[in-house]
Amino acid sequence: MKKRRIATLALSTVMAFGVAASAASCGGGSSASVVTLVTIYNEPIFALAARLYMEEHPDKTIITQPIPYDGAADTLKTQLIAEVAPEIMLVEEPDDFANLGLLLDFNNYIKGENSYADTKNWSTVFEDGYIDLAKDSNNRLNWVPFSLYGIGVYTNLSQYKAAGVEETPETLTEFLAAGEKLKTKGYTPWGVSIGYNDAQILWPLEMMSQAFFRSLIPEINLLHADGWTFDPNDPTCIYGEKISPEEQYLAFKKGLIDPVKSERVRSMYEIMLKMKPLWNDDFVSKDGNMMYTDFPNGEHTHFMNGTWYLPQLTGIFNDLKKGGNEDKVFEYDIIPFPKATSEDTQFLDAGAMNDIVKIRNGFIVPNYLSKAKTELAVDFIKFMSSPEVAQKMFALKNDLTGYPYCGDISLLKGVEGMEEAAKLKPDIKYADLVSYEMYYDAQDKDLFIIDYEKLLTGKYTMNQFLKARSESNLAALERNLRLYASMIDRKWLDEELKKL
Amino acid sequence: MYKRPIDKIASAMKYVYLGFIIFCLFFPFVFMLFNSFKSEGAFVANKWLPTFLDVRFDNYVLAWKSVSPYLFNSIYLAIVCALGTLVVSSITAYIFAIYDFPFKRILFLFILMILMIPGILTFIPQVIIVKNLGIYNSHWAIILPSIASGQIFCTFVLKSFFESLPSELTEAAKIDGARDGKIIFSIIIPLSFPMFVTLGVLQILASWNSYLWPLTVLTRKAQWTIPIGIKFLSEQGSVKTTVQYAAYTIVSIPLILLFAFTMDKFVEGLSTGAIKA
Amino acid sequence: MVQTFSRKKGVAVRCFFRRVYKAKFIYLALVPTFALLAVFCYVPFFNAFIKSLYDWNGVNYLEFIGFDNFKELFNKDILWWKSFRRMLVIVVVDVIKATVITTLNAVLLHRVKHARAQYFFRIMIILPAVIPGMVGTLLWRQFVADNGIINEILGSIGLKSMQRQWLGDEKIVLFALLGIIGFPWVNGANTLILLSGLMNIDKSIYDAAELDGVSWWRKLFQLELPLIMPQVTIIIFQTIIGSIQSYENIQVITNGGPGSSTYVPGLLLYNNAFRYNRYGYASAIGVVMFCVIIVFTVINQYVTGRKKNV
Repeated sequence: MKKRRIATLALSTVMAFGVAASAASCGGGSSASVVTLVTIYNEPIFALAARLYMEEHPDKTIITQPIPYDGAADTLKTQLIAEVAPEIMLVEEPDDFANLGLLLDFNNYIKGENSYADTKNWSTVFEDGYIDLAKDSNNRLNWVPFSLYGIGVYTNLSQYKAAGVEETPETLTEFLAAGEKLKTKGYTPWGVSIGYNDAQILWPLEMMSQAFFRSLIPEINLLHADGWTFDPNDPTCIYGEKISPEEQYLAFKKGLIDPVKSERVRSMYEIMLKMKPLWNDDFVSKDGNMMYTDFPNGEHTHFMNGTWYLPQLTGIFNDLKKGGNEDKVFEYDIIPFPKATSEDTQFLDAGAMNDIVKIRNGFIVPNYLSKAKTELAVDFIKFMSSPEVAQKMFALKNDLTGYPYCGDISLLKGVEGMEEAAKLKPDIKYADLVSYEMYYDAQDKDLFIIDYEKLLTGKYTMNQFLKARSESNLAALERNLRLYASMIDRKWLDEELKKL
Repeated sequence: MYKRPIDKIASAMKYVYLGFIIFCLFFPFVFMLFNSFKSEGAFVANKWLPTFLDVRFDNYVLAWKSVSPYLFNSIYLAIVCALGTLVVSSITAYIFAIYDFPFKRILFLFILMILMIPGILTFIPQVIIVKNLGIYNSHWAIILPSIASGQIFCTFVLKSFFESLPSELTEAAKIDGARDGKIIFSIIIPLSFPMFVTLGVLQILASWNSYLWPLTVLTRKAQWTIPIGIKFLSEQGSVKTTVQYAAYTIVSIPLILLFAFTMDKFVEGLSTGAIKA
Repeated sequence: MVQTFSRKKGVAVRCFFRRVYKAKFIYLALVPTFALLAVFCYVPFFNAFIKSLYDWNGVNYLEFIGFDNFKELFNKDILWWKSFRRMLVIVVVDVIKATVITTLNAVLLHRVKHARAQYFFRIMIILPAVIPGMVGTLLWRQFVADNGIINEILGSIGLKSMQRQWLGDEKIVLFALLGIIGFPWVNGANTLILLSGLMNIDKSIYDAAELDGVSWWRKLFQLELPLIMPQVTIIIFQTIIGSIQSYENIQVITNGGPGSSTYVPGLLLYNNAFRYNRYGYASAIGVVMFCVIIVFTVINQYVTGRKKNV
């Protein structure tokens, strides 16, 4: 008898839970006319777009949601795997997600109609060449790009004046010389940090890699469109061309992009080491997030960053002016990163370094959604690619600071971003195709950071570093071959490998 | 006994040491508190000392607007999880403590074994299960797994506590003809109330601070809990540090109140000495 | 003879089943607990256990490879053994932090004779738990930065030579981390647990010790410590389990750097599962960690001389 009491109590608890659980079922998003957009920053501008869309389509609902930036990719990936991800996500690196095979391929949509932009071919709304840039190495279009960023060096002009630097440096040699003058005055010329939240010592490597390997592109890009020729001075000649996983693997095996065998790779890292004296002493342990506030505080003279920093910087200076700290505001300029010249290396035979202008973020959509939801999601993305809507989005100001939320450059023709951002949209003078990369997947990237730190702190000699990198690169390239086995031309690769 | 001089010194040293520990413990909190009242300019100028001149209460107004929905969510979830855990684990602990049945040892071992599973290992399968159960994106996705894992420690402790209660009490009640349900409600629960408070408080603390799981299973901003809200707030470039500190202070208040009201019972629960192996 | 044996065995078997039958309501009453455990804990764990024998990227690429994951982990992964050794160091230090410092604090608290003062201290010790954990950690991270307050203090009191790059120097970063996390290593709840154990010691034992004129250190080591062993054991138990798995603090402060000098197995698991999409491999790491935890727990039970309290 007594046991039955306990048993009934227990069972009723279970049933209560069960009933409540099924009653409070999956909230929202289950009907076909509701779509959620999750963004890692600047949520208000997407909320604005959603409002405008819902005015035109009262029967549909778009919900916008922010998510904390740190670790967002991991969280979104988990949700994607469990098939509970939001219908549209704004991300910065789609390759991570694409490797899981869960993303919608926009190739099916991008040449189609976009009624909001009055065009029969959606891809013409974007500036030339960027849709091609947005495709991955297997020519899938995993994301619809949204905005661009440019990279420049924010420079503290008052410290320049104090140290007697009269002209802004344009070449590496001038940069080093200016750095020396700044150091004698006690300033830290260039504040960097190594690790995930500061990419300052990775961007120069990217610029150098694309410039130094430019002359090898005809040898690496063996699978190309018929009649393709390479002209280094014509940026449009590489539209539609990609270096695919099997071409990369072959190039590695031939020694073209193998760190151990390639002089170009060695020269890249040697140039980085030359810049080391300019850095702050604690570059290994410094928190990259602190850089954004250290520069306005005058801690270092140069800060290499992108268009997205403009709203924050102008906001900080505005605050200082309002708070009566006018004297702390200094004059600054944004200069292109000082380029390496033929004094530094012999490999600039096919043209100088290009500035970095890259796709900042884009929209991804899972490919397991129902037809209705997919249609709605794609439709909303098309809506956001219309110039009028995009213009409103980029012009939306943040009440707290008085400056626009989004400091990036829009990818759509004719849409203006913040005026100062225009300085960071330099011309691309030379044709670039990514061939040598510092790392080829996420695991390689983590090992790269570890090895790179050891090189920069002197624990590795250049040879040890290159050897470690070579092994890790090879492992990553082989992983990529396995991962993309269904998309690559294995027969071609095997034939070519036999010829070696 | 006599108070030798060395005893006095030793006594004073105790106070000094304990005072030092308390100072170190409280330093971050006091730092936060003082800075939350400054304007941003004053903060940049002088980080360490409090300011009495330019006190800014509007930091708190802004912070409250940003953080209040998360506060209510966290409080609600913490209470429900703690209550649920206590109910389930007290039933289980009572059964293990009072009755003897086949496989008792093995079943108990099974329960304990779960403590040893690394949490991140089971993370993604748990998300998939939550989705398959249809509770994704609701508060149940947080409550049920929290009860599932919280009940292990509670069962363990409550079992040894129930075992330590003198059996004369239950035997006397049984002789008087009381059934199990009555025994539980009128004898065991009142006796173990301090214990419940202690375990409840520990469970509330655990659920208060969890970040990764709520981030993954709750997608709507309105459902967010405090850790997520704080992280989000700290990433907004336009929100000043002083406002962030004000937000941290605000979210600490419910816990302070909790401790203030339950301190007696909490310490008493610990003092029964039943939290032991 | 044979008949008796088989009859006894038959009786025993039947007795067993009857006991099970009589206990059926008990099993029923345990259903909520085990249902929850099964769904949220056992199923994911066995799922992960099985997947550790596969090469799985979480979605579509699934290939049975037997023990290859484990072979790769032990032979080819350059980060595993280093982080394993590091984890051992961390576990030992964490246990010392949790036992020695906590015991010290509890004993001192216990010795405070003034009742109100003791009450005040007790509340003060548990109160800092209200601060979100990350806040304290992040603040301390700023303090040990190169231009942070620790170096400033060292400089101003004349110990300039001791200024270091606390988080940048590979040799000391691990100890800087162990120092920061949970500074000053007082876990309020644990201290109160030990204090309650001390308070439970019978007054008569103390009186007897006073009469015998026992010195303070004998009182501590031979009287109090053995009597609070049960509490200490459970604290060690929890610390070991937590410490072997922990990675979040390290991830936030140094993310395994500089170099790989603060990499721990938990971080390896996280990276392989979430960043590299190698769930089979990550599950293998998790299984290994699980076994390690069990081994440590068993050792703990033997060392503290108690059998598991079932």
